[in-house]
Parts: sequence; structure tokens; C-alpha cells
Amino acid sequence: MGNLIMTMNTYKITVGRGTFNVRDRGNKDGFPVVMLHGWPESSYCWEAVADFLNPSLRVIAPDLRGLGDSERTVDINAYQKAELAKDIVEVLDALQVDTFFLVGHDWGGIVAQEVALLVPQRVKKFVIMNIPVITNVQGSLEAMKVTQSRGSFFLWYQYFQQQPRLPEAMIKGNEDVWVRHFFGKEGRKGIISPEAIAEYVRCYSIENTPATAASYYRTMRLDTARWTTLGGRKFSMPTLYIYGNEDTVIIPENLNHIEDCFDSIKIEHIKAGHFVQEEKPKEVAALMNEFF
Amino acid sequence: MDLRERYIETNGIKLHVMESGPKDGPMILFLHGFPEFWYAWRKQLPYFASKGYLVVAPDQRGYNLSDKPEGISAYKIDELAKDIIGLLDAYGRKQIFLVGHDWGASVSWWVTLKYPERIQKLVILNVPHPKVMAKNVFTNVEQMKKSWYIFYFQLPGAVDKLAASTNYEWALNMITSSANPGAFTPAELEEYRKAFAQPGAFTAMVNWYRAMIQTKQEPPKSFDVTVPMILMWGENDVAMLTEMADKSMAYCKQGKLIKFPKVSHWIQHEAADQVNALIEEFFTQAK
Repeated sequence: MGNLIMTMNTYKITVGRGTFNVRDRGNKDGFPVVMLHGWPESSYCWEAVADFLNPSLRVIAPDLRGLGDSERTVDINAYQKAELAKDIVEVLDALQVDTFFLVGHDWGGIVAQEVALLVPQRVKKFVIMNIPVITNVQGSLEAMKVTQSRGSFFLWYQYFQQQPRLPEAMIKGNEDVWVRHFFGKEGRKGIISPEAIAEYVRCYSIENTPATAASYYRTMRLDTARWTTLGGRKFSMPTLYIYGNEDTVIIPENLNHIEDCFDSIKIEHIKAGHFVQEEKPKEVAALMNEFF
Repeated sequence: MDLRERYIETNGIKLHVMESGPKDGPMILFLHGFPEFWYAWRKQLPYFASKGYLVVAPDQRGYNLSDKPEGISAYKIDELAKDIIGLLDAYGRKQIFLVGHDWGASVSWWVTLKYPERIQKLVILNVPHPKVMAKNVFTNVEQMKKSWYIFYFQLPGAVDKLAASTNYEWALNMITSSANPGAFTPAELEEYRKAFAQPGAFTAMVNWYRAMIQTKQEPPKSFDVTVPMILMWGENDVAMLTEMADKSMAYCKQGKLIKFPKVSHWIQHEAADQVNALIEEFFTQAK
């Protein structure tokens, strides 16, 4: 993406739960599409997709708590994904957004699922990208088995970030190397734009980010305890799963049995890695345009 | 402690070595691990020197006062093993007793596999056989939860700068938080801090991990260990699963496994008396 058109304005919004940075196309008459980014990114990851999305849609992309330019809350409990979902709902309330389409990638995809469970009547259509479905116990087990047999050393960053104190001590001052590492060869080849990565490095360099970003992993134990109680809950809204099928962390087995978790689900594969919306923004936007 | 300090040329570099005991005594070579230096053996050197052994404990390549060659490939295990063989040659010894802990144990396994004729008896502390290590670090999920740092260290600059900027506090914390209380005194930890602060040392120390992942080893003819050996294992190790100790024994033709249930990774510090007595008994046995 050599020549990005910056279609979105950013602003900060303060609500009862905190202060959040939001990217917004600003066309208030457009039907809202709420897009939630993942780790180690920010709402910037939707810029390229937004360029190709139907102009009548109003893209609203908040930065999640602790990431992007949203507030760096130190209290780890605030990063339980069900809590992060409440952040998003409160921001949407403040923006007077009632019903909307919802899109989530990576951790943003998990938060989006929590939003969809929290206010199902407000989510008219749902798009999930490259992240497990939290109610899909069977698929997760099958994926875990494959991961175990194949070797799980690529998950090291999750264990690292779960360590007390170490991410805080080690990442500070080395944010560029740290963030860049996760974009791998797609980053080195410029398939994911240098501007985007520079932006993520800037955000990660904000005071306390190694801790707040690590909080996404440090709360996983609490999150999974909650998710195991969700067995059998179905997402009621029509859903599209877009899968960048060269992802090494979210593997094809994660999608097994996914149809049991939704009243209506369509799965589309795109030949891309984990950061599918940045690698193939045009294809991703085309699928969304058709679905919406 | 009556220690003699020497610098010895080996494999194209110079190693800083501490030694004690009679120069014509049977030689025990002690190889320290990460992030220690010769000082890892402070509770062993006087003990064995007083029993008539020539005890030798180098700072391994990259550590403390030894040379720190540039680059990652300088720290591949084949080079580290050659350093040790060069040391034996410098001492004019055909065969020695070898004791290694942590990374020093990995080097000891490798030396024994590649140069079995040079090792009379082998003692390994808390590190599995290289085959078991390689398999488990990459595929065992439970072990992965313990070995994340190996992969973190691969990032350029991962700890090199930071180690200095925090005055090595986290590195000391890494030691104490994984040890049983009292294993390291505050005064002893200050000695480690000084060794970390040697110019270039921390980068070189971390380069051992980078070489492990990023360079290719030159494997031995066989992965069977034929010399008499003991594997001692503190079971309360935060970095290593005990099941790897059991699996290692399949490769050891004359091996014995001794487990220490409450002891941590820092076994020669925490169980010095027991470890020393067992090693001495092993080395004095006829075979």
C-alpha cells in the first residue's frame, strides 16, 4: 500500500470508563462499522481497508485500552476481554451509535465477540478475522493438539508477556525491534507498510505500554475461565469469518466446528498471514462490502 | 580460597581461568552456565582442591574476563567445545573429569559426545541430553512455558542494552527468583553484577542463545554417551522439566540419575555438600 489515503480523523473521547482514541470517517449519516484492532497494533490497521470500503459506511475504529493512543490503565483487571468490551459499548453509547456492524481482528476479534455477547441486539452483522471463537471449545482443543505435536515455540511471546516485571524491563528502549519482530517477513518486504509499523512502534513507545500490552496476555487465565462457562452459547447475528490462511498462530484447526457456534456463518479464506487486513486490504474490503 | 588466576590461549582466543589444588593432581574441569562465570563453582573449588585434585574453572568464551569475539556464530557449541579441548591441551592432559551446569552442562555433553576419549568421567547438573533438549524446547508445550526466554533473546538488542540500563537488576532477579532463598547472598550477587558489566559481556552471553537457534551444529558421530556419567537434577527447576532428565538416561550407556526433590536449578549452590560428596565418591570409584 504505497499511497494510503488517510480517510479517517482521530479524536479522543472521555467516558466513565476512561479516555479512548477513536478513528472515525465522520460521515454521521452512514451506517456504522465498528472495527477493533489487535496486538501489537492500533486502529491504524484499518486505514487501508477503509479506503476500499463502501463510502456510505461510517467506519469507527477505537484504540483498545492500553494500546494505540487510548489510556494506559495500570490495573490489570481492566484488560479482561469482557471488560474491554464494556469500554467499547460505552464509547459507542457516547457517540450515540445504536446499531452497527462489528469487525474484530486478533485480540480485537475476541473483544468483538464479547461485545456481540453483551449487546447482541445492537450488532447487526459480525466479521471475525484470524482469532479463535471463544465459544468453540472443540475447535480450540483440536488446534491445541496440532500445535503441541508440531511444536509451540512460536508462542514464546505469550509466555514471556505473562512473566511478572520482565516485559516492562526488557521491551522498554527496544520497542522498534520488539514490535517489528511480529510482522516478520511481511514487514521486512514492505507488504505491511513501513508507515504502519512505524506507527505501532510509536504507540508501543508510550510510557507503560509494555505493561498494558502484556496485560492482554496476563489476563488470559481469567478470560479462559469465563469462556469455559459459555459452552453452547451461539452468536445470533449473521457472521463472516475472514481467514488469512497462512497464519502460523491461528491455524486451520481453530476453525473446526466453528459452524456450531453461530446461527449463520460464512467462512472466506484469503492467501495471507495473520495481519490479513493489512496484507490484502482490497480483498478484505471486497468481502466486507459484499457481506454488509 | 587459595586460587590461582591465569589466562590461557585456546582455539584462537584467551580464556580467563581460576585454578586451585596440586598441579599434578587429577584434573577436574568445571564449566559454568548462564548467567554465571567461574564463580559458580565457589563452593566446589576449595573442596576438591583440598582432596588433591587440580580444579580448573574458566570463564567461558564471552563471559566476565575471557575474550568476547564478535558475532553470533563465534558462540556455536562446536566452537565452545573446541575451547574446552584446547584447555585440556594447554594443561597437557589427555583425559579429565568434567563437571558442567546449565550452558556449561550443554557444552559438557557436547565435548563428551564429540571427544569421548578426552573425558574420563562426566557430571551433568540440571541439563538434559542435547537430543532431549532440542526436542522438548521446540515441541513440549509445558517446557515452552519455561523456555520462552530462549526465543526472546533472539531479538537483536533484546537484553543487551537494557541489561546495562537497569544495572543488571533484572538479570540478578532472574537468578534469585528462580533459586531457593539463601542460595545467593547479596554480596555474591554483587560479584555477578561486576561480571555482567564487563564490556561486551552481556551481548556475548546472550549470543550463546542466538547461536543455538541461528547456527547449524556439526553433530557427533553418535549421540550415545559411553563414558561413565552422573546426571544430577534439582527437581524444583523453573527452566527445565524433570521428565527431560528421565528421557536423557536412554542415551547414557553408563549413566546414573540422581534427583534432588526440593532443589532448584542452582543445584551446586543449594546442595553443595551433597553434590560435592556424590561427585567425589563417583570420581574415586575404580570405574
